[in-house]
Amino acid sequence: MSSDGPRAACCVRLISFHPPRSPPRLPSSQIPQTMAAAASRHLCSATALLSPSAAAAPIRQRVGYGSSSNRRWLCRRWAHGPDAASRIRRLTTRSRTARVSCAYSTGAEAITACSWNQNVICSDVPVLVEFWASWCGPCKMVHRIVDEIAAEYDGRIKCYKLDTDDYPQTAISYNIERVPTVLLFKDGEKIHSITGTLPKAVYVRAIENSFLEQ
Amino acid sequence: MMSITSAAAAAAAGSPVYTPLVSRGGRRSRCSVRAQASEQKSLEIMRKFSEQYARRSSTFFCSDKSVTAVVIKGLADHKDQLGAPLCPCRHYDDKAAEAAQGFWNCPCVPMRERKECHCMLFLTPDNDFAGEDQAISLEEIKEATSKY
Repeated sequence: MSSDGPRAACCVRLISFHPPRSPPRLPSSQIPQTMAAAASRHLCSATALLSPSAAAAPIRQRVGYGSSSNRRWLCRRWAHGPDAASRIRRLTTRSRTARVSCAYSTGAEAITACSWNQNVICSDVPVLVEFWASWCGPCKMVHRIVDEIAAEYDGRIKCYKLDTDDYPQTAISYNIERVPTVLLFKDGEKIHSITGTLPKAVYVRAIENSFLEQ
Repeated sequence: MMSITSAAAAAAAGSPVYTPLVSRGGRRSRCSVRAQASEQKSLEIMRKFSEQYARRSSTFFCSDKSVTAVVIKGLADHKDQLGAPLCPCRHYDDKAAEAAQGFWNCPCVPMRERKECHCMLFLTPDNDFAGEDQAISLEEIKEATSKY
């Protein structure tokens, strides 16, 4: 799972920059500049990612050039090629990955060890951090609760998620043994720790108490 | 880094850019087929173990079966990577050492001694999250884990 992480992220990137998703219907005079801009954007995203699938970008670019009818014709020819099955299959998995990441963007944000000081220690509002691990069942339940809390307390507290497998040093420094563990920080200090899956009311009560202490 | 330099070299030589991609894709798919077969096998082993252990310890799966599915997938992943089904709901400094030590290999010591499973795989009937099932199908696991 963790080894697939960067590649999955790359797929999301490629999909989101892929022109057929949002073909700008512009007058013909504007098309060259738009396409050039799109192409340079592609190149940036593809070269910056340093992943095996970055090599896929040139083909996808070529498919993306020209008017939409031209593109459709190219796509159809490409769909009959000898390795069409594998490409089509890869495309579907990519779109699925993209959908997952969209679901994530609405709730609590992911946090890294690098942004820890800035976002948690130096925050002027209380911060809720959920420590989780991949393939931990209860974490998925707590994810949902934290996402709901993030939406309800938007602006009053900040909610983050930290993958303990990606940033073990942070997890060790806060003595995280069991996951999911939710820590509540205020003025850079840990004021509350909730381990395991508990009803949403427990988390809400801890947050309300942190407001009262102000 | 490799992929970019090889793609750039292919483009500079005037050969079609997709040539290296196709061969790499083929190799990758062959490898992934083999990896998938072993993954499937561990998943099935852990699924059967979970069903069996739930019946033997008279515990039940979570009423939200996706939790059960995700934990079984986590156990199967650890079995593949470490050789032992280490509990996926803990953070370890050294996973390999923990797996060798065995305290947190499923069924862990707290589960065997006190029926405590904080992963919510095996729940005693008095637990609020306990469901009524002691069985989960491979399809259920695949469907639930494909979302993540």
